[in-house]
Amino acid sequence: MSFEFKLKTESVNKLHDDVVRIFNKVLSNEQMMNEIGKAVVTDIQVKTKKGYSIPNNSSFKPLTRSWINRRKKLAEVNPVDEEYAPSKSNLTFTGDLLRSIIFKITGKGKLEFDFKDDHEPYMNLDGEPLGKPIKNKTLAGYVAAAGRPFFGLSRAVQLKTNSIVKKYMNRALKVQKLLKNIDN
Amino acid sequence: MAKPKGLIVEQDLVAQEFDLESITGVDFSDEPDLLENIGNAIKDHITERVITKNQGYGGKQLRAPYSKTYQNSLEFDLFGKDKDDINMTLTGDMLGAINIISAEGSDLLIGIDDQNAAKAHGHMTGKNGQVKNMKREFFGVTIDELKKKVLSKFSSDIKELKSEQSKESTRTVADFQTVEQQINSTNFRVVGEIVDLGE
Repeated sequence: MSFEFKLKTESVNKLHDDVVRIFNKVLSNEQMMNEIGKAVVTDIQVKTKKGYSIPNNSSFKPLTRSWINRRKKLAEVNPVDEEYAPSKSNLTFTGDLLRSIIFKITGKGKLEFDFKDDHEPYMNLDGEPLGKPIKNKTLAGYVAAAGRPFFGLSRAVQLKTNSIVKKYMNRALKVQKLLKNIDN
Repeated sequence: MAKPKGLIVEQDLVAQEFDLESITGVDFSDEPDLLENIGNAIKDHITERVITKNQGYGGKQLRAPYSKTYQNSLEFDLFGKDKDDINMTLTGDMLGAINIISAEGSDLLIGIDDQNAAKAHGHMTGKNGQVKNMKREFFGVTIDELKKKVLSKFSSDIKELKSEQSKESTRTVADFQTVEQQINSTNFRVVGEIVDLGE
């Protein structure tokens, strides 16, 4: 006597179609996309403030002695971020650059990350602005060119993103299951 | 010993993924605090296991003693280290960097995702096999360990949640029965008539 197990391909295809349909529906979920966007922005902000460069997978290069001394003085007259420390290389003085990171939903399952606003110049000890405002996006380009790139998707946040999508997929599947129960 | 399920050992991430729903049969998506508490308990378990017992995942003893070169180094002296106490702690930064990276639905991602990841990767792999004496797989938990040492502390919460969730599914069936009974009942028809009259 022998048994042979056969897969009913039509039911597998149906399951596959269902999953694809739910996945596509979930990708249009604005709440989920916002959650993902916020997670990515927070990841960049937190890691950068820790002094970790996501693109380089290493600590940011140290600040020069002269810049550390200058920062100490500037901190007396400028509002500094709570993660600021004179010698900490973490792209954080006022914190404005990292706070300016934004995202927008540009399509189904698509997010775009950018920088908003201008970066105001620091004040000197006489309370006068040191230079002119520049776009935060331009400033981000400068710091990257100066050897401190910080903008990127870490492996960790990619995994977090997967879990967020999975969470919403599960919710959608549960709702569908409930609806099926009602139908039955 | 086989590598724990979900363990990720990369240069930029040393972490472990846990799908607690598949492990416990319970959906944690409405219990984010509980999920986070379990995450913290996993983190604490790993740190404590390494520091107090010098053990890696599954209770495997970490390779002792530290190498002669390391023992003779200035930092070894400065931080008052003991050659036989393999606690993976010099400044404490690496173990201190273990954190809950993500807690979503029933999924947890716990580990090191900053500049300490490269250091942790070096220890976990013996610098990709280049320095075998340095290999100490300190991070991660086996499923057995997770159940016995961590989830056991939350057994009443998990049990309660399991019971609530099974009630929810029975309640759905029960609700349908009630609806069906209502449909068939006279009262329902009366209500229906009143509504019709109201229109």
